[in-house]
Parts: sequence; C-alpha cells; structure tokens
Amino acid sequence: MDINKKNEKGFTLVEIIIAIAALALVCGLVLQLFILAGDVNRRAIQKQYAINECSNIIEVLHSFNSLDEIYNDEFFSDSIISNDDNKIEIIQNYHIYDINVVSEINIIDTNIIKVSINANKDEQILLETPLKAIIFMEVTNETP
Amino acid sequence: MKLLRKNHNNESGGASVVVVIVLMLLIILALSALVTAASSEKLTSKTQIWLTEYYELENTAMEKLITYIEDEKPDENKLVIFSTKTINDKWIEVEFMIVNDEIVIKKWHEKQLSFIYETGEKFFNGQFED
Repeated sequence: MDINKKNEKGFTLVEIIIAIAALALVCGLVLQLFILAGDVNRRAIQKQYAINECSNIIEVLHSFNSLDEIYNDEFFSDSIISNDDNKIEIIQNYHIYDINVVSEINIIDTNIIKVSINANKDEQILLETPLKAIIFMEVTNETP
Repeated sequence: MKLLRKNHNNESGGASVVVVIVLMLLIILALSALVTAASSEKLTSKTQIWLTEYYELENTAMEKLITYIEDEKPDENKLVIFSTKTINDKWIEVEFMIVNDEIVIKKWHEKQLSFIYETGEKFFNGQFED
C-alpha cells in the first residue's frame, strides 16, 4: 500500500506528452531562426564574392592597353563565347559558389570599350554593374 | 525546521528552471546570429552601392578628361590641373602632364560636393589638401 502511494507523485502520460510537445515547438522555432540566419549569411557571402569578382574583372580590363591583350589573356580568351566586330561576350563560372559572371564588352573604338558585367546564380541576378567606359591608354600613376 | 523542509521540497522544479534558462539562451543566440547575418547582408549591399558609384564617377571623369585633352591639347611636360563636377554631387581634380604622348597622372582627388561647399573657400584658393 505504501509503495502505491509513493508512485502517485509522478507525471501522467498526458502531462509528459504536453511537455514534450511544448519543448519541441520551442526548439523548432529556435532551429528555424538558426536556419534563417544561415541562409541570410550565405546570401551575403555570395553577393560579396560576386562584387569581388566583378570588380576584379573591371580592374583587369582597365590594366590592358589594347583589345589584342584581351584576346591573348588566358583568363579571358578561354571564356569568350561570342565575338563579333562590335561586341565580345565572356562567361566565367566560379565553381566555389556556382556563380556565373557575364561580361559584355562593346567595342566603340580601337581605344575605347564599354563594359557591363552581371553576376548571376541559378538564373537570379546577384549583381549588375553600370556600363563603364574603359579607355586604352598609357597612364602612369605616380602617387600610390 | 519546517521552513527548511519546505525549501527542500521546492527543489524538485530545478530541472524545469534549467530547461527554461537553456531555451532562453538558445533563443538569444539564434537572434544574435540572425542580426549578425542581416547586418552582413546590409554591409554587402552598401559595398555594392559604393562600388557602383565609384565606377560611375571614374567613368565620367575619364571621359571628361579625354575630351579635355583632345580639345585643349595641353603642352608637353607642363603640369595641368583639370577639375570638373561629375555625378551625384562628386567633384574630381586631376593633376597631370603629357610626356612623350603619354598621360602621367600626378594626383587624383575625388570629393563629395557637399564637403567642398563646407571648405569651398580653401578649395578654390588652391589651399585644399586631402
């Protein structure tokens, strides 16, 4: 009889089920917050990567002194997908985040080109740079 | 003794309190992770805007500089100061020389016009320094 009395202090099955359900609900919400934070962070990293790569391409193009240098450069020549008298289209894939960077070079003159670059992932545009004119000329910048 | 016994009995809920505290800590951690990620994305967007503005400015300045050189045909080996307003209230000032048909840029300043307004007098008197 004494033993039965002591056992009455425990929880009923319904109480335990309710407690576990409440705990699962709160844990689920917290987990969702972590997943959301991860997604936002991943998107920010990909965008930053796209910015760096687009900026890198513009600076490399800026360092050239003629159109021939674009054709002879390994980085660009391997990725040229279309080339006519007025326009060169270059697509580079960065496998690390599977980002495609599409550069359109419009040839205005033998010394002047206009470049527009966009970075996309899964056909969604991450970044689009404004049309930029690049003039091929010898420039010596004496100040660092 | 009765009081002590009562306190002793209350300790049976200690585990629940620990669970609640752990959950609270997890929620705080998740929220701070979310805020950090959101600020990182915002910073990336700002970097994109700065980059776009920088290239637009450089583009306009380059085009204006070339037009100036073609129109004015400055003398060789003579320091020329070229300054112009570009876009979005930005101002550009370039000091350059033509040496053997090459442009040698000595200084390249890019400034916000609003900042120049504040120090306009100094700038137009040629005393402006970075």
